[in-house]
This record gives sequence, structure tokens and C-alpha cells, in this order.
Amino acid sequence: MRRLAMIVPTIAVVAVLTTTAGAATIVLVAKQLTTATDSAPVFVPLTLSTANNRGPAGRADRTDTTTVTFSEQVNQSTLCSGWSNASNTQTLNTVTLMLNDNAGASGNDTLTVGAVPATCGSGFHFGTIDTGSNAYVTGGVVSFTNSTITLAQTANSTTLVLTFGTPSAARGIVAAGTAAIYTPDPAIHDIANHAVGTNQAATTTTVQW
Amino acid sequence: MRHAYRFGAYVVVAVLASAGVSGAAPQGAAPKTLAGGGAATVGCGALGSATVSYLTTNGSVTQVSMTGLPAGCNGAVVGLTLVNAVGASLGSGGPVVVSGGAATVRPLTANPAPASVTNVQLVAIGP
Repeated sequence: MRRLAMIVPTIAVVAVLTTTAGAATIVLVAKQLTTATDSAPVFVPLTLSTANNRGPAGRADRTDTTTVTFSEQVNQSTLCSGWSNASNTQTLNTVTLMLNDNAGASGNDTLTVGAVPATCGSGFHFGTIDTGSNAYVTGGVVSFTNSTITLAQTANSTTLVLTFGTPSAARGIVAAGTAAIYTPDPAIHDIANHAVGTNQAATTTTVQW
Repeated sequence: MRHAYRFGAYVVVAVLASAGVSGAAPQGAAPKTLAGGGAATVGCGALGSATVSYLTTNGSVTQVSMTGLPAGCNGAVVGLTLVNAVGASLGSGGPVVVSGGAATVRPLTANPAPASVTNVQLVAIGP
């Protein structure tokens, strides 16, 4: 980048020298050169991973998990209005997780958080995971009742674990897909009030659960 | 971008050689007219107003997206460098063409942890 910044001024100097020397006709075509320095994102989702704890790989089953980590301590009330930063751990039971058939912009199935206990008031501000395949569920939404969400924080990180409960219908078995991508709910902020913005995290695996 | 730099260097070398300003003996070329083509270089807009966001994989930055780029930068090629607090490069990417005020850079030459990146330096050429 710094090298690029040298191009235009260098060409300008050459033009003057050449004029003095009376050299051959030269046509210099200039392009606009624009530079800027932007602040880097501070609060981002760092990792997204899934684990298969039951049933075949590639199928979402009860006790299978989805884990997201963030780069900072989350302001917990931006996830669940009833949570307080006074505690470094939280647990929500009787959550409904949903696998939504072909609901992603890419046509892939998505994972979202549905009904949650009343302690979260207007809901749980998780966001959406594009699962990387359209075959985890077919024919509509599969709801996983009695799912759980846990939170654990350290001084500079936050981990959310979503554990599937009881599925409402059969699920597919995915043999090949693409990486899953987590898009956080933009309401999520860290304790320094940095918004998570449009930052995303992807799995290293292409088949989940 | 590296290619652009090289192109610029080649232009400089060619001009110096033909003008005889490098100290070499004149080659007997008759004087010719120089037509200056030095158009003023003005920026395509305020890149600093862009929003930068990451895609992270396993704790490392694997993709950088820019939105809110000025409309005047549509059609320009943009590259970026992720730098730490002392300005050292931690990875770079591009060039990619700006379209609709947005651009996504992937892959990067290196994949730093987000916490180690302080600033994102942007360079746009054109349109």
C-alpha cells in the first residue's frame, strides 16, 4: 500500500525533468489515488463450531451443540434483558431452537433462537447461523424444545453454547456442505458498548453436528 | 497493487532513459515536444467513512468487507492492509473492484487475530 502511494508523485517529478531535457512526447494518464485509515473492528465473533454428541454426523440431534465465542465480554443484557454482568455464567433452560428450512439468503437452512423464558423479555438476541446446507431439514421448520443456552465469560471473551433439545420432526443427514456462518444480532454490544456490527464468524467444518 | 507499483516503476525508468537524465551520454535523439498529461489526482471520496467488518474463522481474520464506500469510488480497485498499533502490516489483500459502495477482500496474505489489528489502511485507485 505504501508503495502505491509513491506512484503519482514520482511520475510528476519525471515529467518536469523530461520537459527540461526536451525529450520525446510523453503522455501520462493519471488515476485517482485515494487512501485512508479506518479503525479496525473491536468486538467481533471469533469462532463458530458445532459438536456431534448423538446420532450420525451431519444430523442435528438432541444434545448436539453449537458454540460461538466473542472477542470481548458481552454486555449480557444485550443478549437477554434479564441477564446481568454481575455473573460470569448464565443458563437458560426451556429454550426453543429452530432449524429453518431454506431460510438463508443463500437458500441454506438457518439456525435461530425461538421461544425463551420470560426472563429474556422480548427474546434472545442471538442472530442467525447459515448452516451451509439446505438439507439439515426439509419441508419446514424443525423446533427443538427444551434446548438450553449457556454463557461463560472471562476477562476478554464470551462463550455461548446452544444445545439442542427435543426435535419436532425428522432431520436430514448432510454428507457435504459448506462452512456455516454466524451473523450476530446487531443489538449485541460488549461491556464497553462496542456494537458487534456486521462482523461474522465461520466454522472450519463443512458438515455440522 | 504490486503490479500497479511495478507499472509505475517501469514508466519512471523508461522516461529517465529516454530523457538522458540518468547521466548516460546523449543518444542523438532529436528534441521532441513533451505533452504533460498530469491530470490532478483527486480522491474518489472519503474512504475513512467506510465501515469495515471481518469474517473470522477459528479466531483469525479470513475476510474483510467494506461497506459505505463513497459512490465516487464505484469502479475503483481497492486494497487494504491490516496494521497493528505501531503500523506494522499483519496482512493485506486485494485489489478488488468497488461495486455499490461495497467491496469484499479475500484471501488475505496473512490471517491475524482481530485483537492484534488496530487499523485498516485502504487504498483505492480509480475509477
